[in-house]
Amino acid sequence: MELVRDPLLDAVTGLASARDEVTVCAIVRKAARALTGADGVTFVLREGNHCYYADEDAIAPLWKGRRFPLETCISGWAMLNRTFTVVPDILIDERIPQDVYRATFVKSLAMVPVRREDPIGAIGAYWARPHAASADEVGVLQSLADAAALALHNVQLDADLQDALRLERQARSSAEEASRLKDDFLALLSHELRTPLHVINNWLWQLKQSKDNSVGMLARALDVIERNTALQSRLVDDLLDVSRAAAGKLSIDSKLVDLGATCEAAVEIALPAAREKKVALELTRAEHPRIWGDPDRLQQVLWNVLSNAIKFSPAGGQVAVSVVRDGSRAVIEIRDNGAGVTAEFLPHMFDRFRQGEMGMTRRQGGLGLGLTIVRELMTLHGGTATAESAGPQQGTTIRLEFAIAEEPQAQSEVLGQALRSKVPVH
Amino acid sequence: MTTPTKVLVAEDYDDARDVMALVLESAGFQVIEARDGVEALDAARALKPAVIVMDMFMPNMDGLTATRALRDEPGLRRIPVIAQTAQPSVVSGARELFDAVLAKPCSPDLLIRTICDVLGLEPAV
Repeated sequence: MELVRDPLLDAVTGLASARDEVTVCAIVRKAARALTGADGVTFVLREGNHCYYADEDAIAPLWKGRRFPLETCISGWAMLNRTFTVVPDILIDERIPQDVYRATFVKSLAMVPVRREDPIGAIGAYWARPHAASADEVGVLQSLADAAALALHNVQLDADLQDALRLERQARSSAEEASRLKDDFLALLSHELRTPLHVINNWLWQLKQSKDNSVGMLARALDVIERNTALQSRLVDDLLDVSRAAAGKLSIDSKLVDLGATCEAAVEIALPAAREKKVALELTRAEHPRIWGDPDRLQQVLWNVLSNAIKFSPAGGQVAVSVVRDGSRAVIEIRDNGAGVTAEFLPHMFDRFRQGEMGMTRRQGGLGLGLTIVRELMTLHGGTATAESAGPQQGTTIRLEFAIAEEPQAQSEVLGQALRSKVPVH
Repeated sequence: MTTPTKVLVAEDYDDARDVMALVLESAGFQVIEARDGVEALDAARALKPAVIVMDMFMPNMDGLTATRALRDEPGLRRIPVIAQTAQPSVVSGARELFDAVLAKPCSPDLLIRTICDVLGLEPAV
């Protein structure tokens, strides 16, 4: 007995294992011709209000790659009406756009929708002679279309599954990253808390066991113990601020603040640290916009930014601070010419638990919480903190922006300036 | 009068290095100071200390790398090294490099006792 291969069965088998649209198209166009004996077939996909002629297999070119509005072509008709149609002679059918067909061999056709209940495409079979497709021909074409619909559905499910898997993997790897950052942070925290404690313990031992501590020795000990206690206090304060911020419990106590005066004070406070590091710290321009803010917290913001700028500047480096009005905004810029930041780290500068330099040879102490606190406090002030750097060793600029407060005393200020301008200049 | 035992202290944090030097001098040791792994290796070659107290986190060359280098150098490999670190987990994978590991904060008594143990000396304090 001779085994006859059934092209429809082959096609259905092939479609069942197809994993992408291109394979589905290829199987459909080959099988449709074999099954109907047509001179050409097209595989059309619906794209919104258009038919897209995705693929074809024909004795001469048809419309592969072209798009037509659904209502202007016969494949669109089959999709919109959710049913097959047979056109024995294209010249006497009103639904046929004659100008589109004139250049082709087509004299007759049959069209079936793909996914009858809600068509996503159509399969067309074309003949170079007038031909009324039989019920069998249409039936086998529709079976093929149904199998293609299922295959396309599978392809979509497969793509959705891959998307879901990729999202899940991304979520897991970012959770792992967060957990790793937290572990690193806890190790760092432990290190940073133990280091000053070690110094303090050693000094206490030294003072106790030494029979006669000179005044000089005592002063030296007190100086070191004081510095290391302050270091630890600052770590603990920062830690508390960050955990309060994470719990949404960080708050500010706002009043009208002169931002220029605030910066003057902050620079004054940071000067000793800058001098010690041989970094030139300068307030280059101070306008006096007023904002609503918490004076202590604003000092904290500026100290965090300034101490970073000083810390990451080499001896001989420069840190420049300016305060200007920019329309309705007050802008503080803190610009240093120090260590700079890599493009990869720049987006993470204000993130919790992140530091540009990690590893066992890191030069800078601290927990890397300073800028996180800056960002939290700026948000509470309704402002923004942003960073710019052209790259390593290219310096860093931190920009703090606030909304300028409505000025009820604008009048009196103008008056004040007018009065001041009358004061003779010596 | 015997020559005091030479202890090399490698520590980048000035406040910690200063006070450890004082403490160890009080205990009768002669102290050599190094601020990073590179200085520690140079000082070890030049001054042949009896023992090295090594911090782990240091710029230029960390303590772990410096100790590995010591162990690779024929003239230095027998010098005992005591790791003294605020993050002891970093030496857990390389415990065999060290004669002892001390966690900061570490009391000077424990440090002195450990140095004496490592050198087979009677504690001086």
